[in-house]
Amino acid sequence: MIELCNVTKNYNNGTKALKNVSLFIEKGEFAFIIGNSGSGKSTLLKLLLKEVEPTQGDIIINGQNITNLKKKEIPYLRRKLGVVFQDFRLLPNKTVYENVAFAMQVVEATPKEIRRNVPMVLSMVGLSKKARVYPNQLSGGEQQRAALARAIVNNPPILLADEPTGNLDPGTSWEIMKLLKDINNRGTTIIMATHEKDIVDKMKKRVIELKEGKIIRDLQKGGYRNEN
Amino acid sequence: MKIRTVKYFASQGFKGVWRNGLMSLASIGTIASCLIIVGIFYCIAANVDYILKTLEETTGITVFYMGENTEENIKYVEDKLNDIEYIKEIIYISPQEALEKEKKEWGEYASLLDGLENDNPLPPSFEITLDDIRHQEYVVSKLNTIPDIEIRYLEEETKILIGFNNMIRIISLVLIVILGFIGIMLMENTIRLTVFIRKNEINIMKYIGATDWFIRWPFVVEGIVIGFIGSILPLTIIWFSYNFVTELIYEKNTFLQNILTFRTPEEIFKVLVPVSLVIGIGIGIIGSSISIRKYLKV
Repeated sequence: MIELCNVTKNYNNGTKALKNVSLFIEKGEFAFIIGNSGSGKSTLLKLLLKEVEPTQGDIIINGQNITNLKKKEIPYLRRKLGVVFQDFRLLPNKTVYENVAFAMQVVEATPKEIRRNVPMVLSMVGLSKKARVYPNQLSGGEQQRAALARAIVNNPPILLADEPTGNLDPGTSWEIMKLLKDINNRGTTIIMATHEKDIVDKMKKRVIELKEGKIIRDLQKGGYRNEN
Repeated sequence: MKIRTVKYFASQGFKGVWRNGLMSLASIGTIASCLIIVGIFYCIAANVDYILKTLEETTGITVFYMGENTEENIKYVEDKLNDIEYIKEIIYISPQEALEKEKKEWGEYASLLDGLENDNPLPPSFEITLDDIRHQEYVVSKLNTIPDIEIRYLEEETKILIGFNNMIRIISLVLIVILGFIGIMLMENTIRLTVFIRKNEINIMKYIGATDWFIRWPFVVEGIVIGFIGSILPLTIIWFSYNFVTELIYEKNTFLQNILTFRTPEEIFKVLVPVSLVIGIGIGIIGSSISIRKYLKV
């Protein structure tokens, strides 16, 4: 599903963000990417989204080598990747329903599809009753659930989550994790960058730890610390 | 492109114009003032051109042969005339024909000219029409090399008209370039505001997988809307003032009616409408494209 072959990323300012990283993530997997800030987590996600280009190496997503993807083709790659962020990034002047529907408009879905899919994902994330509400009237957890609904409404095979629980209290974080688990159980591959020890330890999923741009640990059903 | 996508672009574009109220107004204002100047100068230039054309057709140059009126001499002059470039037509008028023409013009006093047939004082002449009145000076210089002839033509008038016409062309060209440039810059700033306001939205659109053109179109539409309003406004103003001014000139100067004939507004607008729309919408599109390219690294 996702393969990195000897990927190196050096930024123009001299930062060596990733050093010769190779990685294989299978379809339907749930993988945590952990590590301190500056370890290369964000760069990894950005490479997958084609926000930055690798200096060396190849990246293969869904059997397609995206290393030399033309600029014109990037949007179509991104349609295969749902994304959620720490800061939710909902549009404040649109309701929850409109925010989710907007993701479908952008990929030119028919109004019929929009009317069918949006209520479906909203009920899946438990926001059916808040469909007509604006983001500033929602709690943090609800906002992240709305963002999740937007990320999965177009049925992407892969979901990238960049510290999705970073701004949430522990209780709310677990709601989001439960949702991610549900989404994963439906077959979506999930890659989640995080700092949170508790979550990683309790989820018992694959853990990939980065340090100074290198993979120092890659364990199935791992924990945040090696001793776990 | 699907119809509802087009609808989305259109609604976003119009919203953009509305949201940046003052900046949009400034852009519309600059484009409109640019096009008002284009319009005014075009009206003047088109009419001066028209008057020159009428002059060409009605006046031309008259060449009188003052030498001895023999068939040989007339043939000699005619051959010389035929050698000159830029002459469209040469009509020979014999003294008899000239006299008859005079009689006609004198009307009821024509009898005063009776008896001149046998001792006709009028010289033989040639009426010359040019292909373009701008060549008049050249043709006159050539004519002056032919012996025994006298030339009559509207020297000062044509010179002034040609000079005036050239001046108007240069001034309008310079003004159009300057105002067009200002228009593009203002447009760029207006659209940049929309881009800035919609920065988050654009960012999200990029992550969701919107194509570059899907992101760009609303801004292009905004540019087109501003350009369109900016060109319709001056066209309306010029339409009404053109009718008003031409009527005023006719009314105040009844004697001018014979010499001055203005183009009809329809003739003027057949050219002015497409030209204005192209310039106005062009400024809109160029301005918005520049600002999108600069501020949207899509």
